[in-house]
Amino acid sequence: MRIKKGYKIREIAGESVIVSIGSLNVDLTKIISLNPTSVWLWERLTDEEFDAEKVADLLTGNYEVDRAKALTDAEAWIGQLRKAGLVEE
Amino acid sequence: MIHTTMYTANTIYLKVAEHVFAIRTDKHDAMLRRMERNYSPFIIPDGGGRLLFSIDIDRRTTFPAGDPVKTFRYMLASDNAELRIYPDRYLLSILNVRSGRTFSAVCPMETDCNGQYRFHSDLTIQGIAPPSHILDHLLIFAFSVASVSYDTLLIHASTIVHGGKAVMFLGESGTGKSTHSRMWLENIPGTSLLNDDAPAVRAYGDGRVTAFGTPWSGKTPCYKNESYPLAALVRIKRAPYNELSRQSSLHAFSAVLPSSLPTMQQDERLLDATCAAISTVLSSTPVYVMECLPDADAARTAHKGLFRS
Repeated sequence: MRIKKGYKIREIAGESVIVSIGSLNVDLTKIISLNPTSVWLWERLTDEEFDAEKVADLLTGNYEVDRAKALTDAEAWIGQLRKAGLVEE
Repeated sequence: MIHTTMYTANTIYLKVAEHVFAIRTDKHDAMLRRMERNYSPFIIPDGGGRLLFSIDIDRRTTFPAGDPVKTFRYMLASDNAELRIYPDRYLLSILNVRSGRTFSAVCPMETDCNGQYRFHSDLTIQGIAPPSHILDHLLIFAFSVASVSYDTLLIHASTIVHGGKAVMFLGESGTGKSTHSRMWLENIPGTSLLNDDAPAVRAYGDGRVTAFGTPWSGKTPCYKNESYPLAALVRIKRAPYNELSRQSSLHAFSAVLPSSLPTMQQDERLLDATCAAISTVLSSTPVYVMECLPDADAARTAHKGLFRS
């Protein structure tokens, strides 16, 4: 999967967020707040093809975390991106 | 009354939110008549200093070669509007269903060597006078594109003035912004209406945030060239009770962004600038959510919470 084009991290009110604009209805505008790990992952995965394995590789390579835990976290993270409509398969 | 001394040659100068801009046309007499209803308080004798932008409205618009990067289609009243985003310019077109004519404005993304945006439009050359709502909409877009880098935003809001300060009521269409303003006007002494649809808010480098009346006030004829310090932004939500609550900064941003102009949210550059301007405004303006009924007690509850009386 890939991060959809047109989404980028913005600094708003001291936080890192993704602004998702509803194209038809203003009610659909969403502000998604990212924690520092998410920001770090997002920056590395922009314009890249990735899956849970690749996210887990990044996590184990840079954080003190075992493979099984990293894979669980990676799947949860991807699940959140998917739910927010920020990735395409 | 508009006197001939109020413009020079073929140029109409306007001042909105302390930004001066110019409309250039050989049909200025006809345009002034068309603009008299809502623009008169904002027309000034001449530009004097620097112009924020100028728009030549006697020009035929040509579509650039190649496809736009993005096209955003939306409805403007019963007309079909389209914002085409090209690598170096924006092209906003409105098909007026009643007349069958399309009116367009072309807005280059870059300013000229004097820091001035030079836009053009075919408003006067369609064989009929431009309908007011189309003239308004094209000027609103031009003004928004040019002024956003000066931390100036048009906000979809009903705005009242109380105790020398402005309060803007935000919310999607039909949530009761105007109704809530009316509840203030009828129940809170010393309240007046500043604008009922698209007031401007401008943040200055010294931390001041000011609300301005504009020529754009929707269905309510309220075109006041007045300005007041902005006390608060209040998002109106319908509820079976009346309750005012302060929003944290990120929630405040989420409450305000949807009330900026939709055409300012479609292109990355404009969205960047809009987000930056909102952030600046919010650094010294509190944002509240007012969950309310359309009744007098709603205005009293909001008044008590906002003005601590």
